[in-house]
Amino acid sequence: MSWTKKVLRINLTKGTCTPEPLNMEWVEQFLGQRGLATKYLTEEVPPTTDALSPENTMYMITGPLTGTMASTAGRYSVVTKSPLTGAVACSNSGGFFGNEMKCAGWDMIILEGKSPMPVYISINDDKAEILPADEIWGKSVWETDEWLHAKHQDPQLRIAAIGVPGEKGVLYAAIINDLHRAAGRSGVGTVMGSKNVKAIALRGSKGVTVNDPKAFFETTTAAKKILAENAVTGEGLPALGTQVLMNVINEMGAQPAHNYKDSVFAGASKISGEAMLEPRESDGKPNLTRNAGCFACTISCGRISTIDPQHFSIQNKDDLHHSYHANSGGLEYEAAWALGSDTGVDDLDALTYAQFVCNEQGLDPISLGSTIAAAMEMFEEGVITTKDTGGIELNFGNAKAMIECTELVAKAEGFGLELGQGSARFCAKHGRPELSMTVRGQEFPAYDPRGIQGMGLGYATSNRGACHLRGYTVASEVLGIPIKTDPLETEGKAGLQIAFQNATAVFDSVGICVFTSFAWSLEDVAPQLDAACEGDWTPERLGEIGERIWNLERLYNEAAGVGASADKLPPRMTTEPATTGPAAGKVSGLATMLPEYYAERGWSPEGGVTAETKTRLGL
Amino acid sequence: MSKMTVKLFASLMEYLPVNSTKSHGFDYKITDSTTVGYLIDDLKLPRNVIHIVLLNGVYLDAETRDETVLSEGDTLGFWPPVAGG
Repeated sequence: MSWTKKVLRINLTKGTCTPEPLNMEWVEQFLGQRGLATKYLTEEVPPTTDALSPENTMYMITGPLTGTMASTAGRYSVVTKSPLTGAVACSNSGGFFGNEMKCAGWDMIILEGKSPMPVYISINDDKAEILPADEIWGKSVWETDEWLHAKHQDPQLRIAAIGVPGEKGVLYAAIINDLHRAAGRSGVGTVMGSKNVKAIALRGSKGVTVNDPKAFFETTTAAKKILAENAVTGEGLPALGTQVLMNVINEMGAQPAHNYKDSVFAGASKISGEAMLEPRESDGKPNLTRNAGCFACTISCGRISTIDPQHFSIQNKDDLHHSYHANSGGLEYEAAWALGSDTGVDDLDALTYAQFVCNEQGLDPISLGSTIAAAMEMFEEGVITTKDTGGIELNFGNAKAMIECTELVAKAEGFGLELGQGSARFCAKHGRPELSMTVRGQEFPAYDPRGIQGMGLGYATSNRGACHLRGYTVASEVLGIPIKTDPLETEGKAGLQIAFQNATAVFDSVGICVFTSFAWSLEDVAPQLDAACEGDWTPERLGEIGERIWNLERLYNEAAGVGASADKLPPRMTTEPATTGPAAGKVSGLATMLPEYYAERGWSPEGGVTAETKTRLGL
Repeated sequence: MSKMTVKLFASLMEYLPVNSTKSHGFDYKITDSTTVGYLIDDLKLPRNVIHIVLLNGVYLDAETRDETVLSEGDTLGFWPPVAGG
């Protein structure tokens, strides 16, 4: 049985660490990780709770396969109520933290209340302590990681931490584990900071057991073979990582640029995955050093890169910032898009530096880049001036300005404090809310909904605000996985989006990486679960669980006031046609797709989850 | 003879001519009847590796590639199976 069936509940107000049994009845309905923690959230945190109050609770949770030998089985999620969106937040991360949690004997760590002083949590198998963090409060994630390893004299300690933005209320602060893997979106790091928790340091030595070891070995080996033989997971992702998409999306005219004013970026090839392979003039080395994998991963899409030693961004960095001068994690497509084409910056090293800063200090690069891009548009229109920016000439394409803004948000100082509130609040404050490319207050990812119609519906209905990882119909509409559909057509996209949303909810609840879904279906996941866990885990049952999770999240959002009323796109997407590429003349067909989506979900025409649907799903 | 642009990405970059630019593209001369299928064979592109083909940004189905005739100024991009997120 690959669940430990144990939860560590940490009450920060009282200063207590209390073991409790995992609710196995809920496991039957919601599986684990995203689904299960959302169930805990809905039962324990009223939807109207202030996300940054002690009454909010944060759940760090593994899935049933986390810590096993299944491919990519190192995942964990952070679930809480988001301060950025007011909706459910669920951010998923890889690295080695999740498997360490399971090996320490815990399926889930719950942080509730608020510590009266800065603390970190130390967990060594059964022993859990709340310890003072005065010496690391105000430090970066990287400094915190180094300090904790030295203090505990354990090189194998696994650490998840926040940086300065999480302490100071930047609304899209991330939790970074293993130096450069992120529970990145929706401000989960901000919630952790609001509880005065700097880090969680884990050490586990118990291992993970499975229900039927022989069957598990056979089924996970077969599943790994599928990943190895698949051209995407076996060749494409290891070679070029997520950044391989930059040129594809740009060539098809769906690459957002200049705060989504444009859908083609002239500098795309300079900041693409292919560009990361080109030797630079200064030292003859390419940006990319090698690929990297998380725990048990047989795909290894991660990027380990260096910044050009002569690049302006690192000329005045001292030894404390040695990681700027060495290999570190990045550049990934979502960071490259948001910090690059959306701000008009085509300087690969500037983007690599900005991504390193996001890892160093715990920031979501999507929300950061998108907020800077919105500010750039307002600067060029004269809505804000250098008086607002603290002297920064915030024009599109200005790499130094993008970096200055990134550093200010990372320090949560000056103009960075304002940018740190996210695009929706920034644009509203300056009287131009329509320039914020957000849904439910969360910034768009890298796909223009005018050129990839299914993604517009996905952004509008995503339970955690605009997101590509809730229903990645790009796979079908652009990449032909599992079948090719026309990206410019709205017909059939409601059903397609629902299928992706439900299946992704399952992948996010198992403890494995969603990238396996480029090669695996639920037919491949079910036997791995079945061998690892008690119970009868069929693809059909998993599909129903995915639908149940989606509806549970929706019900929570409805009660939080961000249900159907928030299912909308910024007017730029629905009234300003794309000007270039195959989508020229097109706007998002959300108005056509949304009623179909509601109907196919079994919801009311107004977008409410009906009593009949709730009954059918046991909600 | 007129010209169009061919772009090769990801692992297909190894089929780029030596004089191609950093934007992965090079000029290719066509006649009034040059098809995508002819171009693929002429450039010795591996058919079993080609997955995404975009003609001026629009996806070309595998079934229609061989017969599709190229025009002056077209841009034709090739990728192996790729994905990300």
